[in-house]
Amino acid sequence: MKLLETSAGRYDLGMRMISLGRIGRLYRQVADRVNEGSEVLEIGCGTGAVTSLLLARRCTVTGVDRSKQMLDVARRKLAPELGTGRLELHELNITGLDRVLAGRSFDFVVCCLVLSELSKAEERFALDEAYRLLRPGGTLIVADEVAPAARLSRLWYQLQRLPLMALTYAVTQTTTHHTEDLAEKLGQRGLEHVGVESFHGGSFHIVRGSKCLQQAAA
Amino acid sequence: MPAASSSLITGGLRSAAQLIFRSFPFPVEPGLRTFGNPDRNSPVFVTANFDHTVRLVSRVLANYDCYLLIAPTGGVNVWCASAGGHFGTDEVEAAIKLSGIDKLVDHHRLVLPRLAAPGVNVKEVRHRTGWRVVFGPIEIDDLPQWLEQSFPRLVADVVSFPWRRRVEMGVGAGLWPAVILGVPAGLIMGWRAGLAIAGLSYVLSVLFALVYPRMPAQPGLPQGIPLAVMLGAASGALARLADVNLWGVIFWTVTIAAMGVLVAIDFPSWSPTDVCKQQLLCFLYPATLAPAGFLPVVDEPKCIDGCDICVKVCPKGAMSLKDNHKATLFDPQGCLSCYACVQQCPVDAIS
Repeated sequence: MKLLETSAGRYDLGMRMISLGRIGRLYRQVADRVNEGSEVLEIGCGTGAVTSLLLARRCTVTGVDRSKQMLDVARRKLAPELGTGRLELHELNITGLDRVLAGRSFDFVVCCLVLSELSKAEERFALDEAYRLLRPGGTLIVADEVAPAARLSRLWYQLQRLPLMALTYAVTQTTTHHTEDLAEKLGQRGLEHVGVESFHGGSFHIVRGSKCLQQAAA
Repeated sequence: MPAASSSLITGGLRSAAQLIFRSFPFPVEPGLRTFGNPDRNSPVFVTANFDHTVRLVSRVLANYDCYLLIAPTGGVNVWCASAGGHFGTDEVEAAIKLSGIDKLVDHHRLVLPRLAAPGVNVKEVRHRTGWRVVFGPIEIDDLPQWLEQSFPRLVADVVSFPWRRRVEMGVGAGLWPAVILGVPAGLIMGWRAGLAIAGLSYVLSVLFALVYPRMPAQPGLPQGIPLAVMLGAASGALARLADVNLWGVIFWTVTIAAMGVLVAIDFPSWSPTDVCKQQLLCFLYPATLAPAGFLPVVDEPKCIDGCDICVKVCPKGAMSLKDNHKATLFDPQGCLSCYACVQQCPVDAIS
């Protein structure tokens, strides 16, 4: 089962390869949707690419990721910020969030390239947890790769990506998956004012939804 | 019946695909499966979300009223996932929470596959979730006898690789040399040579799997280099006899020798932890919790007198109790460095 091992050290390079260098801009688009100075939970912070942009926006960030190897890379990259009290990193599964972050809440929850890595059950669970951890009026930002909904165009999309994915995997043991119907899913989990923005010829979506103010008061 | 026969065909195709691509993850959706008519006292079993495993387990559980929690282990089988850090405390916690099993039964007892022992910290599972873990049998086919003993916490049992299973492993492992050598051979010497190399790769892989338990020398290069020399020499000689030109003799000698090395290096990685016996294998397949060459050492003052959890949990029966009732590794050759004893020691006396 050696094929499972993702190389954390080469993840960033892999993401640049597979996105043809555009991943940095996408990360920035995600970070720009978080208000400056807010308190953020980043689920699946990985090697800390979005995390560092959030810190640059003077946010206070709690980053969680289930991969120790990825977090090790993040800790190295973000070492100067770790002592400032504006950043904490936890090695944590989605199902451990309620245990470690009990009683906490956040202005923003950010999930970048995470849901596509999860099974359906985990995805539902993750969205419920994200919702629960938001302050009333807070915003969930989900950014992920999406494949076209129509079957034929999805097949074409996957075919044309195949050589690039194979090359990236061979060099960096990194690959990405795609998800679908992000906006519907956010709606089903109780988020409101859900809006979708599309990038990269429709292959990358940033979806935002907010937690209702009244519900929390009730 | 068309429905039944089509499911037979798809089932057969699935099995065949999973046999050929055995080293690839085949994930199924994690969560809850129900068998028979379980009630609030029915047993709760846990397994990995590797499709092949789930199907084997389901076939046995179908005879009982029970629940099965499928943990998100990345589509990897129980032992590889647990020894590789993908089926641990987190995944058991996830299986409990994703399935909603808390609301379905009154007891809090999980039956985990025995080979999940390298990864799962039983105390931590209980602390996080309130669920108590017992380890079931190694082989799911032994479940009926195991159930007759009324949920023992841990029964001594060792892993065996009967020849049938080794043939399966050999077929799965044949893919690598078949592709790595067959494709270039086909490009250089034509499709017939490519097919011959691919076919020979499978034959050699299965033969190697069959004799593996009786192989002299340590796994990895110590087995691979002599094998490569013998195979290379034999195939070179055969090519000479068959009146092939010099280039052909070189081609067959080098390719078959390379096949020997590839098979010998790759096959040990098929039991997740034989890898640790060789630095090279550990470097190529960094898939275990234990570092290269790891052997458990018991801290005697810490070790509880007469406690035999590590003795029972060792899948190779390599631990035993000494005359002073302390545990020790008496068979270092047998040790697979799987970490089960380290993980399950109740007082963390093994490292």
